[in-house]
Amino acid sequence: MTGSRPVRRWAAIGAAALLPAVFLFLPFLEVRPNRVLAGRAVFLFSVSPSFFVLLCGVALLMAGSALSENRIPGDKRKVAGPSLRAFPAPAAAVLLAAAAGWAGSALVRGPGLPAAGGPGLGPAGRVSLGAGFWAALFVMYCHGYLSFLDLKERPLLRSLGFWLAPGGLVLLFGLGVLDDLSLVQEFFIRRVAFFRELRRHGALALGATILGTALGVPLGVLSHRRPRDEKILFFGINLAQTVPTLSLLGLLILPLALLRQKLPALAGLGVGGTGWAPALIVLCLYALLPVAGNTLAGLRALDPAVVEAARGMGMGRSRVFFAVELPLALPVVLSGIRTALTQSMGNAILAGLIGGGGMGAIIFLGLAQAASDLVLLGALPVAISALLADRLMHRLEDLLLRRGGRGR
Amino acid sequence: MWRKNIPGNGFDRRGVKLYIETMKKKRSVSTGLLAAVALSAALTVLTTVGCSRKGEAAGETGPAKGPVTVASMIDSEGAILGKMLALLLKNAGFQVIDRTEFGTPDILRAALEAGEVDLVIDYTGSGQYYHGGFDPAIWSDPQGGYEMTRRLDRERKDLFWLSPAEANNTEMLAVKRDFADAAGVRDMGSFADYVNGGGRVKLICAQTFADNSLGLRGFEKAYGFTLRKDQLVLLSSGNTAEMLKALAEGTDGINVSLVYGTDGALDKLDLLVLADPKNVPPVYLPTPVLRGELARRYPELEDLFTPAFRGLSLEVLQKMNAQVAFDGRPAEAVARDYLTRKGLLDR
Repeated sequence: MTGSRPVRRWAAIGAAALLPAVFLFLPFLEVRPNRVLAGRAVFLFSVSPSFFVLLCGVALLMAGSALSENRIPGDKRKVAGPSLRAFPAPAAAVLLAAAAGWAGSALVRGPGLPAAGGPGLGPAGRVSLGAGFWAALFVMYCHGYLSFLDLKERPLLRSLGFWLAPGGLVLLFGLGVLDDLSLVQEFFIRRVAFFRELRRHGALALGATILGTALGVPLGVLSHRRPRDEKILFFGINLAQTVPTLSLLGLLILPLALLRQKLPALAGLGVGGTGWAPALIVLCLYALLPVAGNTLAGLRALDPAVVEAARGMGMGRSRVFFAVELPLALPVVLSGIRTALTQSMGNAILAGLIGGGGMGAIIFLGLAQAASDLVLLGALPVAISALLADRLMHRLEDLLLRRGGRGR
Repeated sequence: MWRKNIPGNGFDRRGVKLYIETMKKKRSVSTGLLAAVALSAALTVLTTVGCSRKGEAAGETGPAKGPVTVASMIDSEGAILGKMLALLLKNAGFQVIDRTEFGTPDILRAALEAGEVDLVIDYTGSGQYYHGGFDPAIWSDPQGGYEMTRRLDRERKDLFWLSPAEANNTEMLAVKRDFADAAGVRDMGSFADYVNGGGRVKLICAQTFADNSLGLRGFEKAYGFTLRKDQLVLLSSGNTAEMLKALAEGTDGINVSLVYGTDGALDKLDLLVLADPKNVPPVYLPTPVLRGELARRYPELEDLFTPAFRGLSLEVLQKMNAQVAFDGRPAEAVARDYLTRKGLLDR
């Protein structure tokens, strides 16, 4: 699927070998006069030669772990790399964060760092993560991804290695190592708002996906049952998809505001032309296409013989649907729901523009202030939660399909 | 891919039969799944609603008047002034629903007109966009523009404009001080001379400003110069933070930028604002705007913000905006500092 083992291995080695170059040629941190203006580039080796050496050592370890193989005595065939392969990349990522935090503190507080230009960081001064940091993190991610592919049969090691990175980060954060980084300072300034918006963001994305599923699956089934109506149904669904999200939000203001005036009960729930309601509606409309489309595709791809046989056995229409058609189409339907969820996680940002909150509120404020670290504070959790949502849905699919799945 | 797992694909009837037998036993799984989906749909709608309601009720403290929903634009000034209104309201015993940093200017206005928010910060010169068909010159007069907007909004939209701040957050052009010294540019007049003398210019500004007869085109007409298309970098948003960043960093050779009178950047960056003796752009005084319904129910609101807004000069606003945008201080702390200094908060 993802290339043969040797190719993977060499890619992993190459990635690890890239690391020293990344640290040598890309600025690791950026020292800025304040949170808006660009600043001076700082290289890792000039702030902290020891961390530079340490990280280069870890890069070697990463390359080595990708190269190594286990042979079972007496069996010529090579087997997956040693269990150690799960750990170098996540550990390197934690070390990278530690290096950034430590170097950041040295730049903010340290009295004399001749190579980096010494003190002179005013009270508004900030230390931001530079291109080198992000490039290194990306390289480590790739290496980890490639290494984890070889650990399919070792789920325990995989999860241990996987959780090493977030666990280490939380530990570093708890110890205060990262406190002097601009990103973390932005978090401290808006800690309360951050968690509130994160919660709203999640509720919006999840709510839209569930609503989209509740509507999309029946729509998909309906268009399967009545091919003549399919064109009209999907015309509507596609139309919602083609209207740019932002203008859809704008279009909804008036009708929803009218609805609010007609039904005061809705106003009590916070429904109106602005706020969470239009955001939820738009996200739900966007979720319809993947869900309904996949439901239809899943049902269509069924072998007619199976359905016919079920009928022949005396099953009623609904029985055939619930006992045969739906379970068989389930994998495709579920992957449609997964697409909808991942997509909603990203699109929910737009709620920030119409008073609906969510991480968009933080991102757009960051854009309005040209404060890139505030934008990052809003965008990183969105990206991470989209990835997590995708993983979790994969898990859910596995779970459902293994238990309720097709007769294996 | 998954199709190959269907047993007896095609003619093996026995397989199909067996399969269907199994499915019969397992049908509860899919029905259960459907029920679960429906149930969780209901739950999520409820929690979404619950979440937003909880957020709204967060400002509650004891028996209070109100509630008053305070909203403002997503920018530093909107955040500071919005928090200022919220603090003063709470101080006066009102229950406040805090929707500061609510959205873009047009969304904010739409929400106010629809009655979804009660109190916002708006700028007097914006009246030109809300009520067309008047002599543009009226918006350039501080008192006249304010009176005009106030009267029109009260008559047509039942919105009450309260007392404005002193600061005129108008559109101006700014250059870096070293550029001004080298080019001999002091004000719009000498800037026009510089442009007409073939000086290198790259101006970054908002599209709406460039097209407006009370904006760049007004400047060109009043001072007698013309900028070519390739001398302009136009942004769709009217937010100056990115523009001033580009000016300060000299991105793409940009050496002139649109700036607003109360921009925090004017406090932090070494910029020269080109004086505009002919007062071309409209006057934009930040003003609290209240829905008529609330103004009638709580007449005391009309004067509640007056003492606070009276002291808001250009310098004071520049300093406060700079603290939020450049130093990263929370807007509420900046607003509270100001009100405490003026002795307007009891608790």
